[in-house]
Amino acid sequence: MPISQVPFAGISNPVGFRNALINGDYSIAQRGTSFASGANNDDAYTLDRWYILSDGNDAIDVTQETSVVPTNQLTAIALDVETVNKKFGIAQIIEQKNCVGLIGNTVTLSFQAKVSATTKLDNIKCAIVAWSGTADTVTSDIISAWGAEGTNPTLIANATYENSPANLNVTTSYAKYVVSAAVDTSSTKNIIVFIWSDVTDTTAGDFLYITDVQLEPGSQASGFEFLPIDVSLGRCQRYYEKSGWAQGSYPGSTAGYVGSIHANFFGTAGDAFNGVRWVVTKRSAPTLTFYASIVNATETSGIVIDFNSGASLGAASPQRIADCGFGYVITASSSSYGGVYRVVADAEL
Amino acid sequence: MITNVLKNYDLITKEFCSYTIIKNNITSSVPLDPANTDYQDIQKWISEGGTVIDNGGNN
Repeated sequence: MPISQVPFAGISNPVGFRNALINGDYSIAQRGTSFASGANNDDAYTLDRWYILSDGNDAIDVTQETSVVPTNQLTAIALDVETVNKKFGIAQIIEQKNCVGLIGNTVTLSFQAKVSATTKLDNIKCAIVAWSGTADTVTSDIISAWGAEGTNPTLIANATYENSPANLNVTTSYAKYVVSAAVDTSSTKNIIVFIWSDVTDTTAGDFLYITDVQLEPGSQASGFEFLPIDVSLGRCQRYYEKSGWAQGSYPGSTAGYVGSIHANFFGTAGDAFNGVRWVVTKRSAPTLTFYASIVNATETSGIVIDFNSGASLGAASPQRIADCGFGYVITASSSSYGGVYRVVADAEL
Repeated sequence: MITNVLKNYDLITKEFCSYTIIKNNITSSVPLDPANTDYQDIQKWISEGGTVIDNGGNN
């Protein structure tokens, strides 16, 4: 939709950054592009900013879809039924600072979706959920009970449906679905968007595809707001950033040292002092997960290795972690030359 | 799920500065920031009876 035709919502900037959701087109995949058994648990993050909500673990495999996409789109998220007869979906929590202009007003959720077959996946729903607990301390698994087929899941305390979720009648062709609601629950601090299959008689291998997810102020849906890829990546990196992996390489699955962070020791077996600055300042001081490859094996978490011998220097224990970066004194245990590692910073909600 | 929590101390200042946790078989370092969701999970884990390993920096 040309900018001149974007409807003015009357509440917030109608042109730039009107989508309160991040990575609504699923173009950013820092954790990887495929999440199967072990990485597809209920409440686990997948493509950037989006996490699974499902009735048990391994209900769906999640992938970044690049083939079955709408015209003029490159990516979508594909939810592939893995364990039959379970409800499943995806959700995103919006940081309180990005809910300004939404809370207390009418908002509109829009997205494109399709299913591989309507034989079983015949009841797709979406919800705008208000969180009225402590700001940015959201219990991400907002489901208390999934309930029977066609019955909206019961939410936990402090989570409230702002719309009345109903069957969207998603078909086997991409179409745009739009839902509006007033975010009027008292003391709302955060907003959560939740899209799910409300079916309990699914077939393994059935797919639900979703893309162009947008939440904006007002009662009308505008066209999906495409952002430059570097802007989308930066917005995601406020919550999760991998440092030391090339594009297309993912934490825990990489061998070798290309792109790794190197810290030189002083003397033959002294301490190595090093500091890393994040590309993007984080929402909070992040959890750090170090990875290193012992003699070119696949990475192990929680260790640093000697870049001369490739042997482990033991457990990583960074000392000074902040939202802007961290400082780290690595102690050598032998006549090492320096430490090598890659690191993930996770400040998700 | 958290299975192990260890206190870390700054090698220079000797101050308690972070936790090392094992969660879902991944080893990570968690800052002492109440806004960090893993820090929140650790506090919940402790309140439910979890015991933090404290070697006084002699890890």
